[in-house]
Order: sequence, then C-alpha cells, then structure tokens
Amino acid sequence: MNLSRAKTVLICTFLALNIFLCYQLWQDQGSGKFEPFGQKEEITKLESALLNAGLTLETNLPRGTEHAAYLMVKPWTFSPRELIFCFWEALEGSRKTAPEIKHAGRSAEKGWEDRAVYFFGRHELIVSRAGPAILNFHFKEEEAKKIYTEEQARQLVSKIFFLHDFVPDYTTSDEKGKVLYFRQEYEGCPLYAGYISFSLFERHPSVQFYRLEVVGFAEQKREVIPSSMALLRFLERYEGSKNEESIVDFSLGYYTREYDAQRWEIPPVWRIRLNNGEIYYINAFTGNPEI
Amino acid sequence: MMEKIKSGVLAFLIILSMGLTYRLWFGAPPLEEGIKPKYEDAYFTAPLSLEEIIAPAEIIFWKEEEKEKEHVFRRGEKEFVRLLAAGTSVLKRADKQILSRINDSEEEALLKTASSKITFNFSPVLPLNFLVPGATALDVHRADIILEERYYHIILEGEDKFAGRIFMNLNEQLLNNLVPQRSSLHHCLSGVLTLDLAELTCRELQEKGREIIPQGTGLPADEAKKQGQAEGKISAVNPAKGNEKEETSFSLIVANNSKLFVPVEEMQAGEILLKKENVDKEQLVRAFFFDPSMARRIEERDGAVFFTDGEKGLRIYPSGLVEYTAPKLERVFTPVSYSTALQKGAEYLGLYGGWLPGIYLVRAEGQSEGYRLFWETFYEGLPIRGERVGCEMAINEQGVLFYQRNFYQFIEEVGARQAFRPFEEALCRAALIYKKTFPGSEGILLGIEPVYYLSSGGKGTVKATPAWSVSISGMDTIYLHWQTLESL
Repeated sequence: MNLSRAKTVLICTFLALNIFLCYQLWQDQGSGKFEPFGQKEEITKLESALLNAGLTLETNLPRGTEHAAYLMVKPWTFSPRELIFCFWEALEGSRKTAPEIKHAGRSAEKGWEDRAVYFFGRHELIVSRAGPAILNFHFKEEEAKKIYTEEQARQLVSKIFFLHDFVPDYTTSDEKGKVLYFRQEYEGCPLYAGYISFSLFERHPSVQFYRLEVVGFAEQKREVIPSSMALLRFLERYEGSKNEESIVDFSLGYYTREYDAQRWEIPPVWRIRLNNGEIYYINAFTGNPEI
Repeated sequence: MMEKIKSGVLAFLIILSMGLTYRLWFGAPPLEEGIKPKYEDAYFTAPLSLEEIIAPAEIIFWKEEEKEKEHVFRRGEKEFVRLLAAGTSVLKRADKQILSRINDSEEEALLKTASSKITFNFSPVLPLNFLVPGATALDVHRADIILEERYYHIILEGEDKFAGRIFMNLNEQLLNNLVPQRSSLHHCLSGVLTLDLAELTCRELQEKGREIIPQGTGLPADEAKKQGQAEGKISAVNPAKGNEKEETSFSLIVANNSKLFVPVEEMQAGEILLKKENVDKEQLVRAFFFDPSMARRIEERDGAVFFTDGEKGLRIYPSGLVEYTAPKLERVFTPVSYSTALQKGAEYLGLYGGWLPGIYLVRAEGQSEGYRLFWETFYEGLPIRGERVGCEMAINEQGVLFYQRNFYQFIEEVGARQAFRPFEEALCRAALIYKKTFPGSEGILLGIEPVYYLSSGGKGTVKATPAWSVSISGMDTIYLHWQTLESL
C-alpha cells in the first residue's frame, strides 16, 4: 500500500468518525429523536423512580439544554374602578352604560380582611393589594347560558385589554363544572405565577386572576438543570397518591408565590402537572421545590 | 499538489476529531465563567480560638480583710479583660495530672485557710477542654484560684468538683496580675429582701417639692438600712404602722440559684451614643448562599431586602437588622454536643457578620432541635440592651436554623456622668410596677443589674441610657432610668 492510498483510507476513517461524533453531539444537545449515547442508565433510573412513585409519564420530557435567568417582577397596580369598567365593557359590549358601583368595604371573611368588595350591576369584584382579584358573576338564568361555553369564556378574556398577555393553559373539570386556566406570558415564556382561572360553574361562574408586571431579566441567561434531573428531584420528594396518577405536562417557565413586596426576582421552574390537577414547581437552577 | 491537499485534509480531520471527542467527553463550555466560591474568603473576621469563645459573666475578687464584700468586674471592663488574661494563663495549667476530685468538705477546708481568692463565674458554662486540651470532660460554671504563699489552688466546679495545687514561684508580677488594680466593691443579695415602698414614694414627693407627712417611727433612714443589712435584708426605711406597714412593704425572694451582686459604692455612668454596625450586604449574601447566583432578591414594601434560594431566606431590614431562617433544617433532628454547638456558633458568627469588640456570649440554651446562643455588646461592664438588640443564633449539627443580628457600636459618651440611683430604690420601683400586675405582697427576684438601654434614635446614631434592669418572676424585664427610675 502506498502512502497516497493510506492517506485516502485515513481520511475516510476520520471523516466517518467525525460524522459519528457530530451526530452524538447533536443528540446530546437534544436535537435528535433517539436516546443520546450514555443516557440509557439515566432513563432506567427515571423509569424505576416513576414506577416507585406510582406515576406514569404521559408527555415527552423537553430535551436539550435550556437557558434562563431570574426575572424581575413587581405587582400589577390597578384602580378597582377602572377594572370594573373594563369588565363591564367586556360583558356589556359598551362603556356607555356605566354601571353603578357600590363599595361594600372590607371582606368580613376570616383571612380575607385585607380585601375590598365592590358591587357593579349584578356582579361582585373582590380585590386585594397583594393577592388575586376575584370577579363573581351573577347572571340571570337566560344570560348565564351565554357564558357557559368555553369559547365564550375565552372571548371574554380576549376582550379585556389588561389580560392581553394571557394565553389558554389547560382545563380541568369535576362535578361542579369546568375550570379554564390561562397563564401569563413574557417574551414567549410562560409566567405561571400570573394566571386566570375561569370557573364555568352553573350557579356561580367566576374569574380569579393574578397578574404581574415584568420589569425584565435580572441577569444574563445561564443553563438550567435538565428536565430529567428536575423530574428525579421531584420524584425524590413526591409523597404519592392512593390512585395511579400520571404526569400530563412538563414544561419550563417562571413561578413565584404572591408577595406583598415592591419588586422581586422570580426563578425559572420546571412545572409538573398531574392528571389529578396537582401542580408542582421545581426550581430550574437549584432543583429544589418552589412552594 | 494532490498529496499536499490530502495531508492537509487528514490533519484537519484528526484535529477536528480530537476537538469533537473533547467536547463530547467534557460537555459544552459554560456560557460564562463562574467564580468558584472560596469559603475562607467569606469570613468577616477570623474565627476565635477556643479559649476566647466563652468569657466569664463576672470575675470576683475576695480578700479576707473585706469580709462580706467582694470586688466584682463584668464583661467589657478594662480590669475584667486584664484579670481574665491573667486568670486564663493560670487555669490553662489545670490538666489531668494536677486535678483530683474533691467533695464539699474538702473544698470548705481549702477556702477556710485562703486569704484571697479570685473567682471566674461562667454563664454559659465553659467546657474545660476549651482551656486545657485533653482535659477532664467537665463543663465549668465556677473556677476559683486561691492564692497561697508558695503555691495556688485551683478549684473547678461543674457537675463534679475538682481541685489541684500548683507550686510555683509566686513572683510579684503574677500576684499583681491576679489582684485588681481598682476597687469595685459589691454586695451579694440573698434570702428575702423586705422593701418599704412608702419610702420611695415619700422621696419622690420630696423631690417634687410637695409637702409630706412622715409616717416613720423616727428611726433614721441610714440606721434602719444598716440594721436591715445586718439581718441579710434590705432595710425597711420609714416602716408604716400596723396594717399600713403590710400595704407598703413588699418582699422579694432572691431566686435560689442566683448570685446577684449589687454595687456598694456609688456607680457613675452617662448616656452614650451608638451607631449601627455596617455589615457589607454583598459579603453577607455570599456567606449565607455559597453560590449567590442561586439567591434571588425580593425588595419588600417596608424597604427590607429579602434573599432566598427557596430553602433558606435572609432578610436585611432598613434599620440594618439581619434575620436568617432555614426552616428545612428545623426538621432535621441530629444531636449536637454543647461544645460543638459553641464552636460552630463562634465560627458562624465570624462568617455571618463577624466579631466586634465588646461582644460576649451571654446565654446558651439547649433545645430539642439543638442550641440557641445569644451574644450581647458590653461597654465598660454594662450590657447594651433594647428591643431586638444583640445576636441570637439557633444551631444544630446541620448548621444554622435561625440567626438574628443587630449590633451597635460605641461612638462617644454624651452628657455628664452621674451616679446611679441606689439599687434599693430601683427594686422598690420595680416592686411597685410588679404590684400593679400581681397585687400580692411578694415576688421572686431573678436578677438586677446596671445596663445601657437603647432609647432614642437619631439619623444613623442611637442614644443608650444607663438603666437598672430588674427581673421579677412572671414579668418581662423592667428597665428603669438610672436617674429618674422611670420605666423605659
């Protein structure tokens, strides 16, 4: 074999090796559909942990390396009067017929003392400084039928201008009726802390919502823990349930509990939603549960 | 030419394969270079040596000639620091070879022949191995050094009593070091103290220039006082007659386990100006969260800043008060020994804000979840007290569960120094307050001591007023202005 042929053979060999290595890297970064090389053990570990917890995975785990940063938020401030006009406009289709607003003072219910109650038309609005706002509808029977459909509930939300950054999230239903959940979004990223829960209960439909004002990212984006690790950390703490449950949603977003603060940073989280309605948040930087 | 291209391509492919293998093996490089946290850099002040962790609550010097009276020196006094240094150098020699167990009668015999003695009262107790490595396992609450002509005795009291005799050349220097250079005579309260509350009322009325009708028996006040002291009681000056006496007299029983020293001589003090310690917030966050990038910031409406990583939280109030909680650790029950808790506590204090001059450990409480340690700042023998002043730390084997720090530093004395009102008057005033809540005729006295009490605040500075601190069972500690005896 002469030197020239030897070079050709070596070029072919290294070319093949490089193609293989590139493919592995591509898989490792989560762009491929097949199991990355060396992750079989991790998958076995996950499967065994899921089995022990009595859970099944009904959704694909996001793959690849995700990057995120703390998000700086502040409470959304609003005037109850303005809020009422917006709701009235969405409900009645016009601002011209201004409703009569009656301020009923602070809520008498225990633990709700910091909330103020307003009545307008046949509806009731309960607002608080740091918590969610609640709108209770009191329709006449024939009117109620109009809003009992999911589609009309969505339309109503879309008509309210300050809820423009909310998108449909998921729906739950039980014997009382359906509840539609919307979530806030920021630059295409879910902000689970901001939510609307639209209860389509026959007797007492209501909307509960909590909105945050986003100041911006608090730092440069950095790598978050992989979804598989977040799932393992969740399973380590999951206390289980009597029934066999399944994970129906596993996604990355931002979450915080409601604070009565001036502004605060909120962490990226892996949200794990079960079919029974339970939701868990795992901090995507530390792997610790967010309560 | 073709061969050269082939060589070039082959070389490129070889280098590329090496690069790809490296990347696959070690993963992608981080987006930004993280700074490896250095634990040792996080300390505000260097950790203390073992012997510095606990200082005695008081040093008491007694000599035969002065009988019932003793010289008492408290934390923060220059004389206290000097005597402690001298005493520590002596106590360090109390190793296993020297010490032997003694009983009460043997101790009594030793004390009988003593002409002078210096006592170190440890509260909290001192693990002996902090002073003498490898010493007998003993938590010392009292250490006596009895000076004889050619030797001295050491008596250590904990759960058991140990004594040892050390022969040495008692040169002038050592003797001088163990003898106070100034007088600080105190009297130890014990038994039942009978207070005449009418006396205080009369005196206050006199001070206000109002006409009063004396109720006394004609016995001069000083004489009556002397009589009472001879009986081991506080004098019942101007005792009222019959039923009136019962109404105006009040008995305070000194708690059995308390040794309450009150000054015999006039005690001078003046108001002092303090400033809040300035703790570097960034360094503090780094100390609590080894990777500060994991701690997120919450700016609260009251101006406080809260840092949390979801498991532990650090709150820095606008006043500078620092509060840290790690609720997860509260659920971990791992026993921690007393000496380990003290060592860890001292280490963490150096890490979480540092040691300031005049800080002393004043209390160590054993609890189910570990130990709770308390530090206070002292100025010239008087502790600086006030609402949420000082430092509190709850600790277990896993680390710190709770930490609250609010130290003040001395700037200067303001105003003239004046004498404290006599302790008897302070006790009467406290008894009057006590009687309003508990209308009985007696109470248990848990403590009485002169302190500085944080009163009014200015911009960046705070004024502390000298005060009598009186603790009676069933009530919060009462702080009385050193001049007016008004409740602070």
